[in-house]
Amino acid sequence: MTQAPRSQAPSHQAAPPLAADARTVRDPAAQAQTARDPAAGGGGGAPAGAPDAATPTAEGSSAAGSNDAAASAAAEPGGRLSAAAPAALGLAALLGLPALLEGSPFYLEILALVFLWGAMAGAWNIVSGYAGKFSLGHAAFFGLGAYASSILYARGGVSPWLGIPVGMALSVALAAFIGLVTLRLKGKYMALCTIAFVSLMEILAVHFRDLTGGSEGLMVPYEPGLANLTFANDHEKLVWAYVFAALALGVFLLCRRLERSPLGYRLAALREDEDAAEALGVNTLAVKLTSFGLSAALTSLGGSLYAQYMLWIEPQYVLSMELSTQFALFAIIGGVGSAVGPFLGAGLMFPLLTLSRSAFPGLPPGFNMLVYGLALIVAVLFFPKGLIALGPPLRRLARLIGRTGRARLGRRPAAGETAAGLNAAEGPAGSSHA
Amino acid sequence: MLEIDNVTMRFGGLKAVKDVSLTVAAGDLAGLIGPNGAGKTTLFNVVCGQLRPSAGRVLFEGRDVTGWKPHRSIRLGLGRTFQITRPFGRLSLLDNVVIGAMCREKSLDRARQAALGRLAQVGLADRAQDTAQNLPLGLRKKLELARILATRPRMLLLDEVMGGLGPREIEEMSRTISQIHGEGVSIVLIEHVMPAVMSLCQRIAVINHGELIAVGSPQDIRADRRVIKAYLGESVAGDSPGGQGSAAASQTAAQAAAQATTASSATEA
Repeated sequence: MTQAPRSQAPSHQAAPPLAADARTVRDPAAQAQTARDPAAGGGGGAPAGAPDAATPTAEGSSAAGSNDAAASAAAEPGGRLSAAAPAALGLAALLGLPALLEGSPFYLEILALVFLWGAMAGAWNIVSGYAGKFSLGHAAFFGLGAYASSILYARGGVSPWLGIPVGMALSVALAAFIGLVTLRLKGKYMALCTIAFVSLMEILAVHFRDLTGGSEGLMVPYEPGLANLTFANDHEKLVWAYVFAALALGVFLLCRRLERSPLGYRLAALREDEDAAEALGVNTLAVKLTSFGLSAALTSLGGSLYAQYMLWIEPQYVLSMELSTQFALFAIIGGVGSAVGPFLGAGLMFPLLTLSRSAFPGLPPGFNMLVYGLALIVAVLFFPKGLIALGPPLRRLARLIGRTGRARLGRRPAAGETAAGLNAAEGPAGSSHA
Repeated sequence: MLEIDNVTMRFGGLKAVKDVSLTVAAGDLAGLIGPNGAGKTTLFNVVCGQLRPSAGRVLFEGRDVTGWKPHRSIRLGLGRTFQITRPFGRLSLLDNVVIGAMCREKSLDRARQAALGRLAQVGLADRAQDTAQNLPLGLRKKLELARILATRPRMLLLDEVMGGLGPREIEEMSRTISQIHGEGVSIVLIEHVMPAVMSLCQRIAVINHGELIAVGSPQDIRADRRVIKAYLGESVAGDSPGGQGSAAASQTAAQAAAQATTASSATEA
C-alpha cells in the first residue's frame, strides 16, 4: 500500500519507452504543465501504479464489465481524488475479491487462474512484447518449473520452496540455450523455432517415465503445510487465489519498473530496430538474453506454483503448444508491450473460455470453442492493438460523464472498484496510442 | 586514428570491396565518394562491425577492431549513421537520443539531460516529444545525427546525411557537420552532394566497383581522370566525347558527379 503512491512520482518523470509512447516523456517544463492540467496528453491524467494489477480482478469478476459504469466512475480518480485513490481501490479489489468469492469455489478458481495466467502472459510479454522477440516456447519454462519442483518434492522429498529456485535456475539455463539458438532469428522464424523446444521437452517428459511419471502425469504428494507449499482443503482455493494475486502483482510491478529502467529503454530500442540499437551501443545479444532469462524464470515460477496448486501435472498440458499459445494470446488480446495488457487479456479471455464451457451444457462439445473463437475474431478485428487501446476513448468518455454524473458515483462502490482498474489501465493505453 | 588495412568484402561471388587500404588521421574531415553501388556503405559496414570483412583488418587508434560488434566499437568512440534513417519509430525523439546517450551515462536522468542537449544541437529541441516515425526525412537525418552524437563518438562515419535534403537543409547540415568537426570529432562522410563535399572535406577518397581509385584534396579529385571516368564513363573521360557527354566533358568530375547522382539522392525521399 505504501509503495503505490511513491511509484506515482516517477511515472510522470521517467519515460516508459516500452509503452511505445512519445508523450509520456516530458521535459521539466512540460511536466509542470502536466501537473497543473491532469487532462493533458497521455500519461498525464491517468495516474498509474500498483492498482493496475487489480485490473484482472475487475475483469475477472465482471467479464466484459459495463463500460458505461466503469467509465463514469473512472472520472472520479482522474478528476478529483488524489493519485493514491485508484491505487487504494485497486489493492482493495485485489485483496477483497477473493474473499468475496470464497462461497463459490468455481468462480474463485477462475479468479485464481486469471491471476496466474495474467502473470504468465505478463512474463511472456517481457521478451515478446517489450523486446519484440516472439516466443511460442514459453510452455517449456512453465513445464520445466512444474516438473523441477514436483520431481524434487515427489521423488526426493525436497520442499517446493527449494524446488522453485532450482526450477527457475534450470529455466534460465534453458532460456540461455534456446536464446542463443533462436534469438538471432527474426519474427516468425524465431516463433517457429521456439515451438520445437516445447515439443522436445514434452517428448523428454514422456520418455523418462521413472522420473516424470511419463504421459500419465506426476502426482505431487498431498502433505498440507506451509513448509510444503500445500494447503489444507478448507481454505485451499482462497489461499491460492492470494498467492497468484501476489504473483500477478509482482509481475506487474516488475514490468512497470522495467518500463522506466535503462533495460526498458534498451528493450524498446531492440524492438524498434535491432541494428540501429546495436549501432548506438546497445549490446543486443545481452539484452535479449537478459529479458529472455527473466521471462523464463518468472514463467518457471508460475509453473512450480501451478503444480503445487493442482498437485498433479501431465506433459500434455504443462508442456503443450496450447499453453504456449495461451500466454501469447492473452497478452496480445490485452495489448503487448504494456504492463497491464496481459492482465486485461487474461481477465477477459480466461473466464470466457471457462464459462462458455459450462454455459451451454445442452449443446454439442466444442461449442464453447466456437464462442471463444468468435470472441478472438472480434478482439482481433476491433482491437488490433489490444484492449488497452480502449484507454483513451474511455478516458474521454469518463471526463465527459464525470462532469455531469458525479452524483451517481457515491452509490456504486463496486463499480468504482472496477473502474479503478480500468482507469489505471489507461495509463499505458494512453501511452501507446496517443 | 582509423586504419583500413587491405580490406576485402565478398558476398558470394561478388567482391563489393576489393583490397581497400585507407587511413584517416585524428582531426580529419574526409569524404568518401563514388557512384552508386561502388561499395562505400559496405566499407562503412565493415569498419563499424555490421559486417566482418572476408580479408583485411580495421584498426581504430591502433587497436584491431576487425569484426567487433558495433556496440563494442561505439564504446571506443567509433560511430556511424545509416544511409536509410533508422529511427526507433514508436519512441519520441527524446527517447531515441536517450538510447544513444545511455552508451555513456549510467543514470537515465543524466542521459535525458545529455539527449536534450544533443537535440538542441541539431535544432530539434522543440520536437523532443514528437514520435519519430512521423518526422519528415530532413528531420530524421538530424535525429539520426543527434542520436549518434549522444554516444560521444570521437570518429563519426556519416552515410549520406544530406541525401534527399533541400538546399537550405543541406546548408544547415553542412554547418552542423563543421561544428561537430570543430568540437574535435574526426569525420568521414559518404556524400553525393558534391558542392558540400568539396567545401567541407580536406581529403576525399573515391571508390568505384569496390576499388579505391583516388585519394587527394578536393582540387586533385576534381581533376582526376579516373574519377571523371568512374562517374561518366569511358567516352566522356576519353578524347572523343559522345552523345550527352560533349557538354559534360568540360565539366569537372565533381560537378558531373553531382548531376549523375541527383536521382540517387532523391531516391530515399
